[in-house]
Amino acid sequence: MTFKDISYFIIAAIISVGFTMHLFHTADLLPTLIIGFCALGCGIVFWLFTSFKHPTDPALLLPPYLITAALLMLHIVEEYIFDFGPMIAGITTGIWTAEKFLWTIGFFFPIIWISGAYAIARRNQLGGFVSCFIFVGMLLGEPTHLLIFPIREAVLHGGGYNYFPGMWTALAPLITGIWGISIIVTEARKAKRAESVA
Amino acid sequence: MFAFVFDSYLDDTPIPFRPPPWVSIVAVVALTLTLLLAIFIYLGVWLAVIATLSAVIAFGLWLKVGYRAPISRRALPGHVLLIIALLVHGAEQLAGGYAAVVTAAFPGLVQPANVITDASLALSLSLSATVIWLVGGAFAFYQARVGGYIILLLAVWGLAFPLSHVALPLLSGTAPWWIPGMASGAFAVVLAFASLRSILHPKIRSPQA
Repeated sequence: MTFKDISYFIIAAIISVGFTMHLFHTADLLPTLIIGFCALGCGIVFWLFTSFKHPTDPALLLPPYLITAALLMLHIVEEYIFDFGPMIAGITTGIWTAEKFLWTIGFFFPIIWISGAYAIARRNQLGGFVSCFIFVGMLLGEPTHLLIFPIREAVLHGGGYNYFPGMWTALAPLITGIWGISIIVTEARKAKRAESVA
Repeated sequence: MFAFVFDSYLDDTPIPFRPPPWVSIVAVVALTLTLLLAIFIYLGVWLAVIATLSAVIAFGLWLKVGYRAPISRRALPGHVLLIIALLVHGAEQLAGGYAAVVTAAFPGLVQPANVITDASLALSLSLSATVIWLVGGAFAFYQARVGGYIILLLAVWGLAFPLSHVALPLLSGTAPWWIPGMASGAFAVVLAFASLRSILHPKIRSPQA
């Protein structure tokens, strides 16, 4: 590992720990587990095992990343319109209001992952981290809108399995997320094969 | 017996998706008109005027540099940076209460008074607009002409919207001199100007150049 590698890993770790702690203090354990553990934790491990040493070709990675980013933003729009923040606060002991949700998930979070597109275009290692975090997050986190939140809402407040904010657009970024994961894995395998031959 | 109902002249010869180039002009006009009317209805005259001005300039530039040949992928990093700058700008507006300032500055124009709120501005100009800018970036990656228009529209909007903050106190006697969004707006203006300049440069303008 070079000094540059270590620096990028430390930056990624600081972003992950900082964001996870912020989530835990405002949104409670459930969103922290989904975004902090699934997206950031598993994303960082996936990054270390795939594109950490050999950043993926931007020509392959940027299209699924931009489309995933757009679909994720559309998903956030649905969540904000239908009061995802207060609804999550209703099924946890968190203190997310619509305004707190807007600041965290509507502004701060997108600034980080849209910066990832810039890093990918420049073939910077942090682009690899952000893409792994977003793609893994879509795979592990988005199905919770259909499989966990509405069920927990029904268990706590009754009324059966019903709409939960973000439900209709939750699986859209998962499709392109899986496309992105397949590109990262395939390219990492190619790079490792080329390295072992050399 | 009824098999003839399913007969046709269609077969499975591969056919590439190649609509005629003028379809992109129709698409750009239709999408822009819809968006401008939505801005007028939900956000009022002030923002609709700025958006219309930006769309007209972007359309003119697009016909000149981005219609015959698509805009190069080299314009994408600048486009992405400008998206981030406008998100930061939106955050500053939200924190400072830009909606209240506009409503107070043009009480006669923005009717009813609650037509612009901090929440509606954040939802439309920051969250929803970001979806359009990102989709535009993906289109531009595949060198679809509509993507080139969205790249130009963002660059012109990134100039016009923050600059309108300076015009607000000049046009309205009641508006304060410091408008929320001015600090980050200055950064967006510089970035938009640099982005526009690079897009209009022949090497960035077209992959064939």
